[in-house]
Amino acid sequence: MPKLIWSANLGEYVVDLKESPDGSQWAAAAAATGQIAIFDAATGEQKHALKGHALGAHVVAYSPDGKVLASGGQDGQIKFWSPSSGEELGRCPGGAPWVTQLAWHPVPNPKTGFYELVSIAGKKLRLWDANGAQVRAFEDSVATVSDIAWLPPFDKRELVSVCSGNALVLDAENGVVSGRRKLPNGVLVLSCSPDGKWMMTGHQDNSIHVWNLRGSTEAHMRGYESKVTRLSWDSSGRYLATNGGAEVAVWDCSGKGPEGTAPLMLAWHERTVRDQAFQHSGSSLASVDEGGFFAVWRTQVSGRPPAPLFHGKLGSGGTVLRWSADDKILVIGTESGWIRAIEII
Amino acid sequence: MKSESRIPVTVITGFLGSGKTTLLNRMLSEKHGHRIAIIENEFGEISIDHELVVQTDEEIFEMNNGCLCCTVRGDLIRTLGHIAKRRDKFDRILIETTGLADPGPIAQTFFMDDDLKNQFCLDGIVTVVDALHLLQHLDDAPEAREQIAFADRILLNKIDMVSSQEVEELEGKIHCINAPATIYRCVRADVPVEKVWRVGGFNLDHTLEIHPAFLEPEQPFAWGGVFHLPEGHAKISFHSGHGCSCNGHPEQVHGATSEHEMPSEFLLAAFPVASAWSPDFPDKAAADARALFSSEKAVPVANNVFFLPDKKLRSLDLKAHRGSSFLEVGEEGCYALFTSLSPESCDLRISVGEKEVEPEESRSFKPVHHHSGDISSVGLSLDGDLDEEKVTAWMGRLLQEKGADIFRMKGVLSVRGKDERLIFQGVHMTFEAKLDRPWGKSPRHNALVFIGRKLDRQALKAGFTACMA
Repeated sequence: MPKLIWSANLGEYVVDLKESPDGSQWAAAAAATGQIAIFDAATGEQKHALKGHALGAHVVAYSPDGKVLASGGQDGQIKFWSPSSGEELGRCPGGAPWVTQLAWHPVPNPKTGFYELVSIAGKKLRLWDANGAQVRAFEDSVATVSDIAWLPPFDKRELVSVCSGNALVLDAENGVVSGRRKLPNGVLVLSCSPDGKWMMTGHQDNSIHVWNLRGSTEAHMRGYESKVTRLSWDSSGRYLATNGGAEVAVWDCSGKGPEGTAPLMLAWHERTVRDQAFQHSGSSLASVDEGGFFAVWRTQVSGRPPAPLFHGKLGSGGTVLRWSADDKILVIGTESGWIRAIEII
Repeated sequence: MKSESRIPVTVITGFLGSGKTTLLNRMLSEKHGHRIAIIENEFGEISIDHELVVQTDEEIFEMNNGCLCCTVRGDLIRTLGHIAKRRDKFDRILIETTGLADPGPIAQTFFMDDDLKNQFCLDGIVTVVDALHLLQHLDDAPEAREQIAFADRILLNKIDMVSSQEVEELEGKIHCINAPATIYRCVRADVPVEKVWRVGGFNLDHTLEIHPAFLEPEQPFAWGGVFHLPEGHAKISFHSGHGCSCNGHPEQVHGATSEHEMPSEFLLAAFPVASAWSPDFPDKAAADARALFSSEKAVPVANNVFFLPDKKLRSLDLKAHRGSSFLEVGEEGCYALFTSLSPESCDLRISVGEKEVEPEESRSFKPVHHHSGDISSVGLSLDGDLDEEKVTAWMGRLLQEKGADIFRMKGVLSVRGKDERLIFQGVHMTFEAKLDRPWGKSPRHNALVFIGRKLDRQALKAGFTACMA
């Protein structure tokens, strides 16, 4: 049964939520106040309230070694913080009024030994090291960059950036464009499968597109009730869960991929699903909707239609949902600013 | 549809230099107590620092649904999506576009995106027009015509730079493109803010209040009135528009741009009616006048003397007669007079001796426009109830076939079996329909307006009429 183990209040719409790599703390970002708060993972006690970003925050990201917390927001800045002391270590300009996305490369740069972070702000893509020094500024994108991802398996330092009509593979070593694909318009989100085989994009026209990164094939799946804003892979890289309406569609991407197959539909929510996530190593999936209902599913069922193992309700619409590293705790942010940690036994 | 809780959005369009930023600054500096977020597409000198100002790069894309006109603005979806996440909600959003922006994708964004649809409503499109350069822009720039066509409200700005007669002419041009829009004449974009916002979406009721003649069929005359005239001599005076000092405007102001294109001919028809209060006016009299205006070739007024009763369509040569004609009234009584120009535009007066005779009753009609471009508006009006299925099917088919040419559509419909008014509004192929307040005691009625390119009034009317229950 699910059991609420702690609650914390950020006072504003929770736009992002991340667990530190050692599992000791969580960082959350607030919409309009731009505050960044760090909570103790065991008790929910607020350890630090960071000033964050004037006008609003968008994103928080722990460096893979957990030594730096980076954040970005509507003041056009990328800020670097010490997760243990809450001290601001440095700040850098993203190049445009809103810094909307940050992504750390999981492996340190072998030449310098530093972890590197890519930032997107409007059409600007910049690469920083963990000290806040700019490694490079990439050439401006032709349109506002919607999303960005480092390409698995991370042996090469390549990243994909998507904007309306265009996907670029960029080589972070030398800043050059190493690949280019034409994308359909109105791209919202991007995600690469952990095995580096697939790239998925969610689009404004209620569709997702599947790109085989090792070949040249492309397929698309339509029929979503609304736009797909979250793409979540399971740990094996075989299953991809997507929102896009009140149901979560889970695609099997093994073999030749999901084209022409029917997804497993997880139907229980009555309102649009805002976020969903697979466990890090287990096979359960959790989902939360805009009405504040959340559900936990076991996805490998056959025969009968899937039903939630557990479900519950929060005080306001869910905005972001994460599993703790040990897969035991579900942490959910809400519109009204509450963060709830729920133990799933 | 949670219309009451949605945040209203006002879009301000207009050419560079028309006065958009002046208007925006005016809206921000007034003490209205509203919290406003501003989305700008070009760098404007906004003189405010406590509101949220976001600059975005215009990003238009097609919706991949095979329909070329289904374009939306990605930058607005993103930006408004972030604004919607704030718990301290704004009372209003203002979007200031670039001078050359196409309002279509902006308006469609509010119909096409589910999240935006639930959280924001397009309150109105306000187009600021520079009176001094409008004619040039209408000739040179299709964007200017489209910005006017999409507008709910038009600010005819900088009217101090042109003569009042030119202002009339400009309004006429604007009306040719977009008849239902409300036009405010102003200098330095000085209009009360409530005129600019609280448009209430496509407020058709308001449009009809301001232009009751809008939904009527076009008439071959602009004005009609009933005069009580005594037997004997009278005088009709008018200004031809040539060489005059228009309404007190100093000659030098419009001297440079003189040569107004006033018609050289003035058509009028006069015939007796039973009495000033007779139910004949305006309907029966207008029908009689229409018969005269449409079927007869105008007979010039001979020797500048106009005899009553007459019952013929007459033409007066405005150049030759230099300002006045004589009226010989054979019999005291009430006469209906219908004219091809409005009395204001030619300063028409009737006088007996030194005394001016006021019409007992009068009204303006919607004159036939000789459209200079292909953008126009069509208003349709029908009494009775519509069949919901038929009207939905017709509308769907119409928008699918002609959506690219229909810029905007708005309607207030009376559907059989529904107590509430059905409100329709659309941009190109996208539309939303929702039930509004109940009809209550007001008479049930259908009004529908289209603004677009190559509109076929007859076909639209036939299609609409076929939807009757």
